[in-house]
Amino acid sequence: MAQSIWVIGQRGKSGISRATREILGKANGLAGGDSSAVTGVYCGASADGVADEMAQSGAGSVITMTDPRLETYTADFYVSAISHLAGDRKPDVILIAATADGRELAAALATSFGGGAVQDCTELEWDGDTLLGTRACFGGNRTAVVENCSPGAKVFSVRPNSFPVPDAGGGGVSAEEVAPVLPEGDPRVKVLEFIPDAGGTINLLDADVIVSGGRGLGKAEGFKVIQDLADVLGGAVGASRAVVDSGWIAYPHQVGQTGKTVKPKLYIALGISGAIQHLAGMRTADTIVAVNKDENAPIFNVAHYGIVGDLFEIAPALTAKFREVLQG
Amino acid sequence: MKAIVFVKEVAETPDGVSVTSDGQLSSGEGGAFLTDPIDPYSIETALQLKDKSGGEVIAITAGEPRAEKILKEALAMGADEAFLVHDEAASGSDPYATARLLAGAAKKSGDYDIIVVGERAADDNSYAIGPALGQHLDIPVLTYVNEVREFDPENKKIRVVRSIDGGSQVVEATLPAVITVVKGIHEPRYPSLMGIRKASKREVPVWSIADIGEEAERVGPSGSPTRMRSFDPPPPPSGCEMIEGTPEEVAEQLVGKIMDKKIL
Ligand SMILES: Cc1cc2nc3c(=O)[nH]c(=O)nc-3n(C[C@H](O)[C@H](O)[C@H](O)COP(=O)(O)OP(=O)(O)OC[C@H]3O[C@@H](n4cnc5c(N)ncnc54)[C@H](O)[C@@H]3O)c2cc1C
Ligand SMILES: Nc1ncnc2c1ncn2[C@@H]1O[C@H](COP(=O)(O)O)[C@@H](O)[C@H]1O
Repeated sequence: MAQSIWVIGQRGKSGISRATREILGKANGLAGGDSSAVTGVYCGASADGVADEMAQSGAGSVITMTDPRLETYTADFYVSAISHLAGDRKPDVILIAATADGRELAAALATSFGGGAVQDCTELEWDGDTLLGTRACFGGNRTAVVENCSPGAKVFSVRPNSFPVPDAGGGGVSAEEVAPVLPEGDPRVKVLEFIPDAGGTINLLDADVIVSGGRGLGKAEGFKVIQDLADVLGGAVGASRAVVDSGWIAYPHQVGQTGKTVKPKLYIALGISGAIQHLAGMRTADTIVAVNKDENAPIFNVAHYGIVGDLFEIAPALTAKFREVLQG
Repeated sequence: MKAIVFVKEVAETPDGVSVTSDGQLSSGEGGAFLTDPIDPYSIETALQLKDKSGGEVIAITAGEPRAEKILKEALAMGADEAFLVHDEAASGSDPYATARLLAGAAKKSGDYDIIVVGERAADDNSYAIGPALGQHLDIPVLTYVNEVREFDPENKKIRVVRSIDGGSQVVEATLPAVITVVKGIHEPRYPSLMGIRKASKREVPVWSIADIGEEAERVGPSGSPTRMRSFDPPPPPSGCEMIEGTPEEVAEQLVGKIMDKKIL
């Protein structure tokens, strides 16, 4: 019998998050297309539309737990609800998108089962009956394949953008509603406010395209050419630490060991030398384009396409060409 | 006020690091070891809380005897006490077994108001210890903290800003609590010469697993739920295709390739 896989649903800007849909698609593949082995589990204040959306991405059944106290994620309440449900239903595997909250939930939930989570996996595959997760160590300088020997459910968090978003199909599943078991009283952690990143309304971690600038931009105003190219591609703006430290752009844009680890479909680095700490955050992008006036810049060692030249000439030419092609 | 900071010794590069038959990272003896680059940020955070509220900062690591060195660095920065958790039976612990050791050490050091750790260690990048500590100690955890807005040990309250996907979240929790910090939080101070000299003369007490109330089966390889099957350099880059010409020619070619390969 196929092992039962749960995918914990997270909400995005509209409906179930893209990362959750990617994981549902992957879970369906891991179950050999037997969607009855894949269950979407959702906690929230309300669960309107959730069952259909999860089913369309590959879940054969959906369980929802709704309560006003589950409106925003807090570890105490989510761990309580999910661990009680898992205690009853005994899933074999639990997959969670490796967002900040998702990684926190994965580690806390796995610990509550007496085991541990394999975090931030970029690949999942069976070795017989054992699910293995592939993940980066040493900031991407090593790749580890990890087995989860935890008692009970094996928890893995999965890095967003690791798997394709499945084509929507199916649906028409009605959710089983379960009353969540929650701790008494107020949560020990109270969420007061969320402030979206200034400028970067597009999340680096969710973006298909990232255009990043480094010290080669010369000054803060140089980001104009980066922004223009990002805009035409519908992408997000990234940066090296050097320019964040210089105050040309805010920290949330930083890519690298001490910034964000990203895996877009396309990463365009302009005026970035390619220091090991920067590479740690972007080397696993599907396609990397580098523009640098120094032909020996280390960024070319990880790039798929390289252009030696002045970014202030190349970037506008790229913007113009992409605009022509994409907007006809 | 009492703050505990957990610091970790890591190999400077992954070159000498291998995986044991039990699936745990082994740094060998040859390579260079240093304080995890995130730890000075955790220490600085704890020291700033002490600067405001008074009290003490305790640095603790679980590791080999040579890790005494990183505890001395913490003392040199301004930590008041330091302890090493070391036991033959605890060698080769994964992050979840390590969390048991650290939870035991926290209990042994008594009434604390806050525990500060890094968001993730530089070697295993496992994002595990903070949330696992919260479960073991049954206290709230605030992860990815880039600012402590309010810290009030009298009234047992803390308010922080978390750096999460898409923005910042302001959250409040009761103390004691665990926070995991990101490097954006504060610039770490440099230890003073005086601090370094004093720290070099300090004795660092060693706690065994019995001292912290743990058992051999629950730590070390036998108590480790995660096991690495392999640990290799990522596949080499496929080779970079250089595109040449005038800016317009280059743009034409590159955009053509990207559209042809359906990268977008
Ligand atoms: C502990 C630690 C953590 C770190 N974490 C990070 C991190 O998370 N992210 C990160 O990015 N860095 C990080 N760094 C810093 C990193 O080591 C580099 O210093 C930084 O990435 C360099 O940024 P840069 O490439 O923009 O600048 P430089 O290295 O100065 O490179 C600028 C490049 O621009 C090119 N250039 C100049 N003018 C032009 C032009 N007109 N057209 C085209 N090309 C041009 C130059 O040839 C050069 O290659 C970290 C460092 C340490 C020690
Ligand atoms: N052996 C250890 N001793 C003390 N602290 C540790 C140890 N391992 C991890 N930590 C702490 O936990 C943080 C996160 O590590 P990890 O969850 O393993 O990525 C580190 O930044 C340290 O603060």
